[in-house]
Amino acid sequence: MSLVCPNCVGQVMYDPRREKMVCLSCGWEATEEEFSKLEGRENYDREHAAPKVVHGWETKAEPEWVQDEDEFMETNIYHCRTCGAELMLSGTEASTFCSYCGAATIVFDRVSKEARPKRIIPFKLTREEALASIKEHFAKGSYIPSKIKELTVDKVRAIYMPYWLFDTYIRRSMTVEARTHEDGTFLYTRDASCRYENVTLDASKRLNNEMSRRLEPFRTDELVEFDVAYLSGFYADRYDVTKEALKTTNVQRCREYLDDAILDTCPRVNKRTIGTLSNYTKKDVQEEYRIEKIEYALLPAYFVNLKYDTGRELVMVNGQTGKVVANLPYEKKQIAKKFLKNALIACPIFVLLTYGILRLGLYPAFLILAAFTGFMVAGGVSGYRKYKLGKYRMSASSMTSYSNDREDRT
Amino acid sequence: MIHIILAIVIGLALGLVNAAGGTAYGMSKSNIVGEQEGAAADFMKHGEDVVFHAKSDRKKT
Repeated sequence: MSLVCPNCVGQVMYDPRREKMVCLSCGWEATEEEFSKLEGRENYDREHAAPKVVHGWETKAEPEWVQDEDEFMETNIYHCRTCGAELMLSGTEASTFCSYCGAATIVFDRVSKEARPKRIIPFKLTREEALASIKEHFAKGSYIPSKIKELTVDKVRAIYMPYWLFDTYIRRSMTVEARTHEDGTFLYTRDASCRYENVTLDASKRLNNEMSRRLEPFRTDELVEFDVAYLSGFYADRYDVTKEALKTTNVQRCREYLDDAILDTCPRVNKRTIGTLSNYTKKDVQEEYRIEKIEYALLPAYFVNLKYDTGRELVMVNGQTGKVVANLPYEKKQIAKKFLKNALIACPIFVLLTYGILRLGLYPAFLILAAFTGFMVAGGVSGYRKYKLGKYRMSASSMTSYSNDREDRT
Repeated sequence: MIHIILAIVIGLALGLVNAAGGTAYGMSKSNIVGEQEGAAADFMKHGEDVVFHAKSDRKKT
């Protein structure tokens, strides 16, 4: 998104640190509200923005996902042939250039209607702060390759991701049957309700749901009314998953939250499960729910590509809280070293313990050693599987293309 | 003597298996950055809690 300075016709961008619109050329600044008034977006005359001659741009077909019941805003959509970026430009601009590759161009190609987000969480972190956050997190990882820790940045993209925010009232009643070895079976009957607000569900097909969920939590108390000025200087993605498609997921999530609260009140229930085994069963479940509000919102995230060996590693940073999400590679050499180090500590301990058990004839103690070993192996296997799954999700072509398809100058 | 040999064989085997498990677990903890942590509390209306309309506990006989 690109906006023009009313003072010098330079490029105006939203500065997360100052929380103001700032001109990159003359330093002029204004709040987003003041800027919107100056631009007169409310009185924008569509005739004024009629399609003009375009050089170096190609048009994009009207998106199929646009729905009649949503609110719309008038924007001009461009596709830069030089760098491949897709731009939304406000209708009041007279001329501009590609905000990502800097290619000079002549105004818009056509006016388009885009679904207008209702709310937005503006970026709170600058690019530098996002990188500092990554560095801080990586410093803690003893298995992270040192080359990754050096943080050779390839690309940084600040993207507003599309989300649906759901407000839901849910009530569930059930009987929880908990089995214990010592005291037999207990029955807990519960009828509970709760209202969940602003449950965030990502509305982009390309963004893996598990990965976007790991970016949470967003502080939804910092949501503000959407203004197009916030998009200046950032990429903004459009939703391609409808709110209808996410209703079931939302209810499922609210159900999980409420059931979790219910199980917390059942003393003999052990919520931890081993595989599919648990010590409780839910019976006679009844449910009612009401989705009270659904809003379209944009939430901020940095997508950072780090150079590593011959490839690139994708790291995501929550643009509001600075939470870092990544599945980093490992080096076989480093893992071997760690294994040797662990073995050098573990082997003498186990040899001594075994010798003690054999000498004293405390053979049942072997069961404790075996159980401990089983626990360690299970932890290792599940950890490794989780790692492999996360790595697969992060490197999925849709995830990498989500950020890589947008070329920029960084 | 047999105790020493057995202790070395069993102890080494257990030590190596535990070291492997520990390494794999440590690697997953270190290299999976930013685990899922969104909790119900993040979405509960400010000042509101889960309301229990009915609650009863009994032992199955």
